[in-house]
Amino acid sequence: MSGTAAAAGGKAARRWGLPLAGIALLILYPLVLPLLFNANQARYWTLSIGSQSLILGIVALSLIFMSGYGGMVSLAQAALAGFAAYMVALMNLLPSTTATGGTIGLGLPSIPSAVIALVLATLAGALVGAIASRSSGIYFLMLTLAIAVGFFYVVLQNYQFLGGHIGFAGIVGPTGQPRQNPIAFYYLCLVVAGLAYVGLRYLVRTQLGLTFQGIRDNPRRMRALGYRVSLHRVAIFAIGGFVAGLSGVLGVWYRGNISPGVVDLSRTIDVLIIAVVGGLGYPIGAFVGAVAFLILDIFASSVTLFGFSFDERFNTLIGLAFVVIVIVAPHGLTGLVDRGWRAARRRFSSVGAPVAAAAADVPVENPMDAIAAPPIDPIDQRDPDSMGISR
Amino acid sequence: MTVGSASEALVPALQLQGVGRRFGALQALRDVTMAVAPGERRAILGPNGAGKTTLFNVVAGDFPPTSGTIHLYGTEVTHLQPHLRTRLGLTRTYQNSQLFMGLTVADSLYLAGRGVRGGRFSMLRPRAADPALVRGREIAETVHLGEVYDRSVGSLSHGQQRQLEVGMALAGNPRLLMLDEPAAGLSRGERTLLIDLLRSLPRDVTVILVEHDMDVALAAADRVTVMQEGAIVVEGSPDEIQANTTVQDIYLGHHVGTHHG
Repeated sequence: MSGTAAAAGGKAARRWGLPLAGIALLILYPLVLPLLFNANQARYWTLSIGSQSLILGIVALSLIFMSGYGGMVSLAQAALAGFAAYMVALMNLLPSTTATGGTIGLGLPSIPSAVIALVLATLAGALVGAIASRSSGIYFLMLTLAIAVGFFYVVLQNYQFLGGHIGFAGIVGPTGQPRQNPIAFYYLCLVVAGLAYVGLRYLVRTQLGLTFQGIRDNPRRMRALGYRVSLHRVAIFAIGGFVAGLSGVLGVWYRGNISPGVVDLSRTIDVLIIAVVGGLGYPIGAFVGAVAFLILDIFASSVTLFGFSFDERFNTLIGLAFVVIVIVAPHGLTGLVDRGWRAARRRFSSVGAPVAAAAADVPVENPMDAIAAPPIDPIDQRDPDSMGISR
Repeated sequence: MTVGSASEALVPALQLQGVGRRFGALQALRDVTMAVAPGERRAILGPNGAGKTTLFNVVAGDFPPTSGTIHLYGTEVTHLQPHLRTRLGLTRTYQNSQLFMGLTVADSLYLAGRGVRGGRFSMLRPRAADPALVRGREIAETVHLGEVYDRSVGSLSHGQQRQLEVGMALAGNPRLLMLDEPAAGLSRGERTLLIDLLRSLPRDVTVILVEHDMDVALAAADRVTVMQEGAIVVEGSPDEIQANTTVQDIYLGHHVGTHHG
């Protein structure tokens, strides 16, 4: 029976090996940086790449959750994150009188401010859902986009309560100024991102998560099975609003300020790009996409190709990179890795005798099926690293 | 309760009174009046375009009738939302399978059972002893899907998907089960299994069946309703229907001469 135990151990190692390595890497990341760089550079990599990737990843995760499990590509997620950020500012700032005579600021501590902001973002998400989820297709996109743009103009033009084009500054999170304590802020972001990720992965296997996937696949049948589909869609939006709100709260603590630029159309596009580049079918893709997006965004201006500097044209380079990624990897970077990993494992397991047991737990009845199969193999629907994409 | 149980036998499972449905210039249903007794097996026959599926959609609540009333076990449901009709005990299948291609057979049957049992917004994982899960497992065996219980719906054969279509309708504990061409595209062997399944359903379930295949329809039905151009032409026992010359003209003649889609 020791063979069975070894096989089980090997299976567990394969199942958990990669995630554990990833978790260890994420935890050690800010601690290793000072060994490689000077203090300024280490802080830059901890905050501008590390924390910001996690913050952008969370809002992209909310989009991937809604599209992958709910079948709804919401363009309002960046606005919902911004809404939460504004709410944190209004709760957190000390009471003061604005130029036009409005009184704002409740002077609450940072954590209660964040909790209230998250509750309000969840409600705002539900409200967006109640408005948008009755439509579908292009009309759904237009409605969520209109809500996002509308919110931008509201905050831009409202000086009485929302600070107009200036916004608010001086918002401090529970870990203090990120620049003074970058590692603490990084871990705060990591814990929140980890909880959001694990929470959503858990949710999709619950009764509620299954109803979301049923609605994604066939709303008409769900109605015929006794489900009030519109109410479940509102619930998807509420959860999406909550997760986007987490990103907004961390974002306002990261910057220390909030202004309409944080909720303008380009942010909505950024979130969409991150989700698509990372891989719309994969929750982890949100974070993969965020890292790729930030590294491109930050370093494009210093790239020189064939003696041609992109200094003044870094947007061209970013655009080209995204076009290439979408063409080469229609399921995003995560999909590309996933497919390569599966192909390598199949090839490896068909040659080497010691890994014959590895192949045994994923039976491929007909090798041609595996080749012709979509990147998400139907057999692996319950695999934690893959999920069903609406087809 | 004593009065209720005495009168319940008299209340039809489904009662349609003057039901009509118009799509623009097309009168898809005209003045349909019929009553289906509790426990009855009723087949609805008719050529393509006779209004059979429209009738199902109106009864299930996909869209309301433009005239007339619908009663389900004595409760008026004419304008009730579809999910509430399902919770009153009305479930249905579709002519073209309406399944969850990204889910497994197990998840599909569980969802189908959960829809009428409450706890639809639960943020907990279903327990192994969850009634909807246990029932789903039983139904998988009933509709011969036990061996593919954990497989993805998208990987099932056409015949298995048709069986799941029926299984999901059964999982909702129906009092009235409406089957829209359940035998469509099935092999001869699969048809036999389907007929056996229909015959094995408990008699407290009322069944209405739209079926092109006369063998299936007449083998399973107590009474037969024949429709043409949105209206009921004749109603009777299977023997009466087979002997009826009008039916032979409008339906059987049609059936022999043309291939149905």
